[in-house]
Amino acid sequence: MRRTRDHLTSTAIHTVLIAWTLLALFPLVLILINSLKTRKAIFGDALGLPTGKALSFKGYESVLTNSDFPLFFSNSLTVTCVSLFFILLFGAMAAHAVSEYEFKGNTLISLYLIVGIMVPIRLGTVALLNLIVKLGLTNTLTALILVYTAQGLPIAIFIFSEFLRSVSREIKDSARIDGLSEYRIFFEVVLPLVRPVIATVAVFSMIPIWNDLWFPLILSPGEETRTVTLGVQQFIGQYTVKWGSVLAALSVAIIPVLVMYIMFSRQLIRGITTGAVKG
Amino acid sequence: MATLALKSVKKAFGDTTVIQNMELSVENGELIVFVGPSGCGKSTLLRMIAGLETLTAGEIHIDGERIDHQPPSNRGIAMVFQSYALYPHKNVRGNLGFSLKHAGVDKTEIDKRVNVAADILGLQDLMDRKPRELSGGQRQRVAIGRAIVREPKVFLFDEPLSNLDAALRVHMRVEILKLHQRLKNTMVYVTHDQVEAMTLADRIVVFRHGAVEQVGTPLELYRHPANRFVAGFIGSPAMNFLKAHCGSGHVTFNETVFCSRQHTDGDVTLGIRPEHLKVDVHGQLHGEVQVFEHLGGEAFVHLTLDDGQTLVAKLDGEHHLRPGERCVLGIDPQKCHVFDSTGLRICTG
Repeated sequence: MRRTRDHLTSTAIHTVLIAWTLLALFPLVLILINSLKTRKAIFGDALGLPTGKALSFKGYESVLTNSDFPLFFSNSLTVTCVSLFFILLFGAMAAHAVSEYEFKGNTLISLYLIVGIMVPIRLGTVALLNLIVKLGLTNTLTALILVYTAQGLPIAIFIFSEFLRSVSREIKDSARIDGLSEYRIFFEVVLPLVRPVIATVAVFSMIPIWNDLWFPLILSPGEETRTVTLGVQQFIGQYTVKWGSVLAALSVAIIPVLVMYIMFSRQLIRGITTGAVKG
Repeated sequence: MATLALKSVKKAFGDTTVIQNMELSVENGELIVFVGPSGCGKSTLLRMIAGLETLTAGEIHIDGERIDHQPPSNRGIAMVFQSYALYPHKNVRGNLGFSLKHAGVDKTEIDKRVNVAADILGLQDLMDRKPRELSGGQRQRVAIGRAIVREPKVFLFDEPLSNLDAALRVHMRVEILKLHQRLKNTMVYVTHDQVEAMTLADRIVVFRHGAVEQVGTPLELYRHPANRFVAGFIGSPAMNFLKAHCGSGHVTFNETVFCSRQHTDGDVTLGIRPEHLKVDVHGQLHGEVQVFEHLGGEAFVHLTLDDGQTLVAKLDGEHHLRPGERCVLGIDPQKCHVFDSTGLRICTG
């Protein structure tokens, strides 16, 4: 009796999960199959597979050869990687400072660092644009990197400080007795202990940066500094849209995020479950 | 080889004083144990010696040199922590050599010292393992090894055996004692376990509320406790305390004179160790057995006396008593301690 009920529960859970997976994968698959089809086939039979006459690599061809796509791609990669590096570095360092050291105003500073989670950065777009113009950073990748670093820090500090608090004080004390400076304690002892958390923060921060259209459009719309999401717009003309190319560009754009995700995912799951069990 | 001296050391967190005016000098090669209940300040004091906590006032000297303003790594100390505090991402060899590598010691010298430590502690087969692949006892040996390779003047142990199970704790206690006999270093050892204190220490410092209650060799503390707190803390099971009366210079309980030194008349407390009680039909203490615990070689009997006070006696394993049974215990008055109303010991025997 009990076994049947367990079996039913498990089936129900799996049904929901499979349905959810299909739902989440559907747009991705749609993009992938349509990127391999001719324009006529895309409009004629959007759900059809790219076989026979419908098959065409024109989209990929124009993306990879006849456009600045490789440049956009490297822009996106630069912005994402550099922002991610700064978010992880400054996020972990700030979190270490507020969770390890006792000083006046500690709680206030932690709150100040974290409160950014609740304020959408896009609300400050006008002020940011003014600032970037005054700094002379319009149409540079630096502008994007600065904004994304600021955008990613609050949540990174929040996640890091929760986990850094759980690093045993005795290990740090032991390193102090071994004569390590506070910086080396942080880099050589504390950081290796929170590797899963680094992966978690990296994934959470990376995806919104890679996918963002808003700030590249406003801060660096120049030919040289376009990111992939903005670059795709060149295939969307006033009168015609090259759907094949748009979808091919999007398909290619998924690859780096996917690779990074796979790289981090094992650590990520550990990071998430540690948090769950710790309570 | 070094001496350690604490001079008027104080520690306060805000308005709360945790260490009051500590004066202590540790001799060369001595193993001194700080013992006391949780929160009595013994670990804080150890951390102050290590340089992990600042002093509010006072001075700390090692070998006559003032070190309380030095960073931990320059003090000539090494510390073993309760949670072992090994670096989880380094293997045993990496853990042992880490401090030397950081200090820029020559590689052949590091290897030499790491191997010596590994030989002393029997770690040679485990050198390539990570801490998570080791048992609790092995981890603690690595932690001790990490202290040895630094060749410190003073070893500091912060409850190093508290995380181990009972059997391993006894084993490691002996290991630490052997290590001390071999290295002959000055060691400061913090524990809340009075058995560890009694077995390891050359001298014991008993703490309560951040102040020293008594300093002395284990047997001094056992035989001549300065006050009721020390008497109750040292010895297992704990000493029995019975209300007694002092009249015309004699302390009497159930018409037996326990002490006849001059003292103000009034209420006093009689301290009797469980192991000094014997079943004796002519004894002074009459009562009813509440619980009888038989441990094989010995037995503990929990007794309620006729006047309602309770006590525990340690008897040899020959005895068999049942709950509810009457029992008469006798004690040699020479072995009893008498404490005044403030808890100070007035006399023994």
